[in-house]
Amino acid sequence: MQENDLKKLKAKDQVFIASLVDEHTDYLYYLAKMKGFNSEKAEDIVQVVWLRFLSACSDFEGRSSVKTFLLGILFNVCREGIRAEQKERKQDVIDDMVEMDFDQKGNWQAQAWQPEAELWRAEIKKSLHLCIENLDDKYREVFLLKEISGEETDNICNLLGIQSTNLGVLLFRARNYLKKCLEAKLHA
Amino acid sequence: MLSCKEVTRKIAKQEKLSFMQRLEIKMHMFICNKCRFFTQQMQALSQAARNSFQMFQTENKQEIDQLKNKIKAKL
Repeated sequence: MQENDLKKLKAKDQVFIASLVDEHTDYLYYLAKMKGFNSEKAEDIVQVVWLRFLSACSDFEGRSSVKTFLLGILFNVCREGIRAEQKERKQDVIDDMVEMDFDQKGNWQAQAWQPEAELWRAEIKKSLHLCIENLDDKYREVFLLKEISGEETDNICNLLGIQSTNLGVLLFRARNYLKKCLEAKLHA
Repeated sequence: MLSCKEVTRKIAKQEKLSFMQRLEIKMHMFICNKCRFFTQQMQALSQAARNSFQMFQTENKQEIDQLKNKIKAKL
C-alpha cells in the first residue's frame, strides 16, 4: 500500500474507505457464502468484518495487503459464526480413497475410473458448489484462498497459521475430495 | 521414473517444482494418458472455481451493491 493511502486509512478518510468497500466486498461476501452461510448471515458477517477493519485500521502498518488483512478478519469472524454442533466430516479418509486408485507400484489401477472430459466439465459446472459446501472447513479454506482469491502460498500460510508442506497436503486432499465427489455424482 | 501416484501427488499439491521435476513429469505425461487426464481434471477444477466467483458477482450484483451501501452508511 502506498504511503498516501496508508495516511488516508489512518485518518479514516471516508471517500477512501468507501472505495475500499467497493473494491473488496464482493469476494468477502462470496467467500462467506461459500463457507456455508446463507445470504442473511453472510451479509452480517461482511458487515462485522468491515466494522472490525475500521476499528483496527489504525494498527494497520501496510506490511500485508488490505486484502490479506481483510481475509484474516473474515476467517476469524466466520469461525466464531460456525455453530459448535457442526461436526468434523472426517475427510482424512480421503488419503485412503486416493490410495486405492493405485497399485503397489504406484501406477493407476486398471479399474480406476476416469470420466470423459466433456462430461467432467459439465459435472463441475453443475455440482462444484455442492461439493465445496461438503468439504471440511480446513480444506475448504485453502481451496477457496488458493483458487478463488488467488492468494500467494506465503499469504495463505500466514493467514491460516500453517507450514507450506502442510498447505500442500491440505490442497491435495481438497482437490482429490472434490474430484471424488464430482465423479460420484457423475457416476450416480 | 516417477510413478503415477507420485505424479498426481505433485500436481494436486501444486508445489513449486524444479526444472528437473517438471521435466520428469512432462516425460511421464507423454506416455501416460491417465495422468494426463488427471491433470486436465485438476485444471478444469481450478478454472471452474475462478469462473464461479465471476458468475456470482454478475448474478448478485444488485444484492452486493445494496450490501456495499449498507456498509458505507454504517462506517
